[in-house]
Amino acid sequence: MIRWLLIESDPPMQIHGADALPYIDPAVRAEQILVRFGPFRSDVAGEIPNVVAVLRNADGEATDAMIDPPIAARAIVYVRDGDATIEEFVGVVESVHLELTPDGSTIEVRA
Amino acid sequence: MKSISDRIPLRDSTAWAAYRKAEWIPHRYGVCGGALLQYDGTRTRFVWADHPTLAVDAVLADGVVTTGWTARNDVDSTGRAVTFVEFAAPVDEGVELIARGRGKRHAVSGVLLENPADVLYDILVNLAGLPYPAARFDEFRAETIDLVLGGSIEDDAPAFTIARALCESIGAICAPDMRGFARLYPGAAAPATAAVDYRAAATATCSRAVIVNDLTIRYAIEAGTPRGAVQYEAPTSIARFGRRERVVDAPWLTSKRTAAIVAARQIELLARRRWAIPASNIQDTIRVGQTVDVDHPVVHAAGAAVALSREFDPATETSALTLELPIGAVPALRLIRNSTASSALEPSQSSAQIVNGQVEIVIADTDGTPLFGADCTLDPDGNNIARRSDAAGRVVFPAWAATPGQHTVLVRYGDRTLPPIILTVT
Repeated sequence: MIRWLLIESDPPMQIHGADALPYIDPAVRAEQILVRFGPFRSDVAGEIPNVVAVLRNADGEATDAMIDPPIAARAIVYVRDGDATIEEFVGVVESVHLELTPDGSTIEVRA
Repeated sequence: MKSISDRIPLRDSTAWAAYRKAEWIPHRYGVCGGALLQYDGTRTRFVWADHPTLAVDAVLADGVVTTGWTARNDVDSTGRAVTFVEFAAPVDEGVELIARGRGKRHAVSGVLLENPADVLYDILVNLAGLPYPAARFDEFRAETIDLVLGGSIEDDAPAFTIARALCESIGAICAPDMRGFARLYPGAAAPATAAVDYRAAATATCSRAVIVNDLTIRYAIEAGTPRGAVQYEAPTSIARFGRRERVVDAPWLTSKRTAAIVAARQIELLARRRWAIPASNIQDTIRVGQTVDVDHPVVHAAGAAVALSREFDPATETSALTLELPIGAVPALRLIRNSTASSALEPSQSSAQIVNGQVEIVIADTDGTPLFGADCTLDPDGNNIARRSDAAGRVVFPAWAATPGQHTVLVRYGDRTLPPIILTVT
């Protein structure tokens, strides 16, 4: 399945991988730095539903995108399902973690 | 060897031959309030503090200001100087007695101990017996020169627990290995005393969880109940990050003015996003609380960060730090409230003296402004003479009422009750 993240910051931005290029909104800033999504977690008695987007930042790509960290901005994980694009998860950006590694930087989105 | 984790060696009331029940005998600082301890079986003699104090300004019986008492510093049955409050008639069983006043005095100057550094020094050195030189607190004293504390030690908590509660009340951080022991944080940017090699700080995290843009500090806590609350919000931060509230208790604050200063200073930082930056393999000796110049390659942020934690590895002679670096500009603030319930604890600037045999009083607000039209009552349980202050805040009572002994003047200004004025005529 192809997934990407839309962050409704000011201005908004999309975080995606190469496979999502045909589906993202061309009018919105797009950063091809998504490595993968972590597990979508939910627990009726425990943690608030959340998901982590893992970012590529070996050469500072994510740093450039997150220089004004979009904390508390609404964030939506989209998934391509057949011919349809579906909102899979909606939340707000809870935290941004950056490090200069291929897959150590993250954005946590919490419901 | 004393440790800062040792408990403060408070005395308890079993020291007295005829104590009623075993309770810690408090130490009191600044303008503060707290329960009276029954000294003996007469129910006329009570103790407010385990040391001499500057004054007892008011006594409340079940929450109502009462008269018919005198306060004095005197020795107890063990020969130790304490603060007594003595009533003319026995107080009924079950009545909760709270006294408000001004606590411990400086051993040399005799002035009220209320500067945070002075209070901290008294607790850590004079009470806990820790071998800290007075000069260690000089920077903190200078930094807190405009702040006053009010509070009590009412149980034998560890010294560090008390120090930390005191510092948190005024928006300060402390640690035994900090230079100067304590500093305001957030506070005026201290000059950076070190810089971190960027290669040692290769990650950073910014989290929504640390943002607070609606802050309430509850203060003037008396018998567990806060009598004052100050609330600030940062509207631009709320608009951007949503309302994120925090309510904190400040057991060492009784001053309305200091509470407002502390709340405003804290929310200026808390309402902003901050990078938490771990840095390892630091070879310089950087202590917690120290300001560090950061020019971070990963987040492209630069500025003065503060070391909030440190782990030193003696095997490698290097430290791992956590630094905090705010993002963006200091937000504008809005004062939502600074409740008036605390006003009775505010030290007014009123003064009293005997002039040509008459009792002359000047009623003034906390900032020294004379109060016109304040209703003053001299000795409500005795001569009960009422007067109203003139434009200069001045009230004169007749000479015949100024008999030798202690006199009480109750003061009301509008809907406010000011601290009673206690005057001793010799």
